Amino acid sequence: MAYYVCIKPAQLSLMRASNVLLHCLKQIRTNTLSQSSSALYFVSNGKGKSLILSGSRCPPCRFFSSGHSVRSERNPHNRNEKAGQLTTRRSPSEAPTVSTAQKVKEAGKDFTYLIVILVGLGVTGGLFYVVFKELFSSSSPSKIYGVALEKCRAHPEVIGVFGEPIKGYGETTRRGRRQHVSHVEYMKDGVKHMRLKFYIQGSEPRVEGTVHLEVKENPTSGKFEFCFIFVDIDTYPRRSIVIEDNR
Amino acid sequence: MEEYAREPCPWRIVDDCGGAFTMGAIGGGIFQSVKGFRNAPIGFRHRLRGSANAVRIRAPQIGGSFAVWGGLFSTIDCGLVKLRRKEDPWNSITSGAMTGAVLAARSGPLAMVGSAMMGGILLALIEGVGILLTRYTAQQFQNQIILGEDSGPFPPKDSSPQKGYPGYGQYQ
Repeated sequence: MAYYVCIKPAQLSLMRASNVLLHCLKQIRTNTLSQSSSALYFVSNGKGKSLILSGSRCPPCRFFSSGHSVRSERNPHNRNEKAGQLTTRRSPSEAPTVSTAQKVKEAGKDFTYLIVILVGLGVTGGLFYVVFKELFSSSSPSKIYGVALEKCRAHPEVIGVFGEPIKGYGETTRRGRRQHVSHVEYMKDGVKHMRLKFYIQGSEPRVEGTVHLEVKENPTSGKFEFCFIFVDIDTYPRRSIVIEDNR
Repeated sequence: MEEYAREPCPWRIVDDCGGAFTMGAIGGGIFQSVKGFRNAPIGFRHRLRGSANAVRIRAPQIGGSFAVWGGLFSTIDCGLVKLRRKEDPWNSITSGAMTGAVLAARSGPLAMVGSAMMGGILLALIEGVGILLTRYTAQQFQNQIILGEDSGPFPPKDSSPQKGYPGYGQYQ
């Protein structure tokens, strides 16, 4: 037979806690003592008493008792106890029977947690799906933007106007991020089309350009093909450079 | 200010650093006030004092570590923009991972890999939220955009410019 005592030190004043400790220590001289950061465990030798000082940060108190398996406890009785109260109870031979109401309560709580976890997993999975689609799918706006930017960089007239290292960016957000490329998708004659718009800038100072492009889905292969790519120069000698026009 | 609006990059580092500090200080302050209140000895005055103490000690620390994260992240992001000459979601994901790795550099290579993965995943999630938000706003915009019959800025196979075709605003 083993006894245990559960004290919550955080809810006791320091003086009383130490008194309780001394009292407990006096009671169990024969027992061995192990200590963790948030709780004190008294390990009983099976014949003596077992004492647990549980910190407020370790909700499941652990009981050690040779001959019995170590079990962790989620005892609803402990929650109802008044703060700082020293309780002694027989365990584990006379485990209190759990009433149906408490079982229902526990089940309800577990179910709520399950729902929360599932919702969290679902949201995370959805976000990952969106991100991976955006990054790796060949029909995503950012992928098309990358391909079109490479085409602009390779075009000699664009290089001549803008200067060699050409950089591309999308719409500027309020926080100074420019990685979102403005795009619109629409259906025409049953074929999916997408229009994109992004900006380029080269080493020439004060020369900026806007790239307009349209892609349409190839009905047989399902891949997007360029309909046109135009570069509009936004600064003074305004003109347009046609990079590709497959219409 | 005009220059700032045009080229966000070097200034964005300061901006992000300050924003992250504020975020960390406020969020950490709220969290620590609750924690300090709960951990203090019994009695309302003690609890209030414990709460205030915890906020005073811990909130600036949390803000500081947030600021380090934000500043390093933004610095690497700007470096990547400069290197790749392109701005897309890859930049921020890579720089999130690199920030995690750099900040865990003192705890060894294994911790660096773990921290880098955490950073990358976190930033990927944030990017996902951003993409979803822009898509959502784009759908609201789309109803207003009426595309013209002409499917481009020029009549087909003709390179004479024709400016200002209808309905071609900023899609977002």
